[in-house]
Amino acid sequence: MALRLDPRDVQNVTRRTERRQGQTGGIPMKHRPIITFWQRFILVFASVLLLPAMSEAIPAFSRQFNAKCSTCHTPVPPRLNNVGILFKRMGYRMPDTDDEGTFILKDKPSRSVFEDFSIVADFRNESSRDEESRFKLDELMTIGGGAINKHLAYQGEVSFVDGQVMVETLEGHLIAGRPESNVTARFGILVPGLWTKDSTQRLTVSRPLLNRTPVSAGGFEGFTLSDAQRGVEVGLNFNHLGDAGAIRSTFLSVGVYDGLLQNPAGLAFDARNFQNVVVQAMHLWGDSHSVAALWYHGNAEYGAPAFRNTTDRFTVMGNYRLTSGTDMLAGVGVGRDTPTEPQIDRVSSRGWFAEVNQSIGPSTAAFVRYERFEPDTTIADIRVDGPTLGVTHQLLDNLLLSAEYRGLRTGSVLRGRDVVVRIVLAY
Amino acid sequence: MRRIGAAVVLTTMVLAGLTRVVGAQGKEKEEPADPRILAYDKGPAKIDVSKYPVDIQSSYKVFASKCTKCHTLARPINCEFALDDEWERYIKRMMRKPGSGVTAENGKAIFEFLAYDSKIRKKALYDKKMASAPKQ
Repeated sequence: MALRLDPRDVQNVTRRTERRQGQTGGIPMKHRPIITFWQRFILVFASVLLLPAMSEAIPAFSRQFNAKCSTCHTPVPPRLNNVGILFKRMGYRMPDTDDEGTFILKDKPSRSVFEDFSIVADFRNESSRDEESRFKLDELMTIGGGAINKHLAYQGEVSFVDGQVMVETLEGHLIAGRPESNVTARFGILVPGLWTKDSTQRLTVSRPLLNRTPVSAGGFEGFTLSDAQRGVEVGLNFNHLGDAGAIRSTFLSVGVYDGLLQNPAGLAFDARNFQNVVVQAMHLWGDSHSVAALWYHGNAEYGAPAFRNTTDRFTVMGNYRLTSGTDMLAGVGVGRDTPTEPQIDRVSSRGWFAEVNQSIGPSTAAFVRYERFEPDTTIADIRVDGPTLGVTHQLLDNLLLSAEYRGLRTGSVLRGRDVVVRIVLAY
Repeated sequence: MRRIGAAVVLTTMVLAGLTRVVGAQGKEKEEPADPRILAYDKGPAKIDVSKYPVDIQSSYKVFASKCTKCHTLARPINCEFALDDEWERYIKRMMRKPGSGVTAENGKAIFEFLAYDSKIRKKALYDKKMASAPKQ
């Protein structure tokens, strides 16, 4: 099994993009498998249950810091609270205090790069009016990272799909300064957005449309801000520790990315174009309140002869915990795509979502989201909106169960009532 | 150009991994976690408070709720702290931890419970520590 790192691997990026957008049905089976799906499921399930020192989310971190999931996750994984967000932003150094109460960043005591990663298996059963229901292994991945020394850290997410290894993200992380104020730099293959409660930290199985719907303009099929790009981000971070360990942090960052290029087969990294700029600000306060703003300006080439699409996106997102059990999330975004293709007008897009998460006991959370996305504000028939509701339950430290209903409409037509059941196993 | 970029990223990551492994060679004696803490974690994770005074039973609820966010309840239950000043120092330290959510009011209730519990459930340890404590 060869590690495929060629950034021009169009199929790789295309499949990754499609899976992020929830458009594919998991792993295509080209050949009859040696062992059946259920044999694989039982094998993974039994292995995870029998392995010692297990826990959910990224259990490698839990093991290394000898800390419970809830140190970084509220109400259940993978949603991060502000300790978890700060831990990640500070290059996998745990925000802590010394004996005198001084704010410090604690390095992990693990001794090997192999201790830094967790394995996650995501099984799903998706059923809708149009598609046959089947239970499948949607994704098997290894994810993790760690601090190498006082200034350098790394992070990676590698998926195993259809016998191929796909590098989803692979980033280096530099930090210099004090815990209270420091400068960070991220570089490599990374997702530009800092606020990820609607993507990698979501409680819902599906991402909000705002996050996963590409906006097409002329011949350009578009991409989303949750697609990884190659680039460098430089950030300024200010952290303050208040009473009862309350965190108050502000992150400011500027990133330069290569953007994505559209080939006939799909999206690929655009090696000739480091002209995409992302400016962001994020503020955290209390246990898990947050607000973030992002502005993306860039361009993408497509077609032959090459046309160019200039893209602008502006999003504001945040969450506020009304009570210890009720969390409200919302996001709004507008976009503008200007293609150089003849006779193609500028395309304006916009969307928003509002979500309520309600804890039911210490390891269960219910969620309701309503969202609307207009890929082109001049065409009402392609507007998508509707509710998503469901529940997620952390059965064991390393076992997460979710059930979700989606009833999205396109224009005035019901696009389908989707029901998704998901089982996530992690070691 | 694209291959150079990919090679730089990959090389950085491999070097980072190697640095981590090599850098760890000199830390063979360093344990991933304190074995005493691991032993505390494996001990009983509940206390029978049915015979404790009602206000102490209420304090136990605060203790069981607040002190399980980041670690097991077994850790403070089975640790070797018993004296009031040991608990006071430990609880104040926990209150300062990022994201602890332990307010001054919570801290007071937790202290009241642990100080009382130590004099009952850990009486032998408490008496031993008191006997060896420097006289004021």
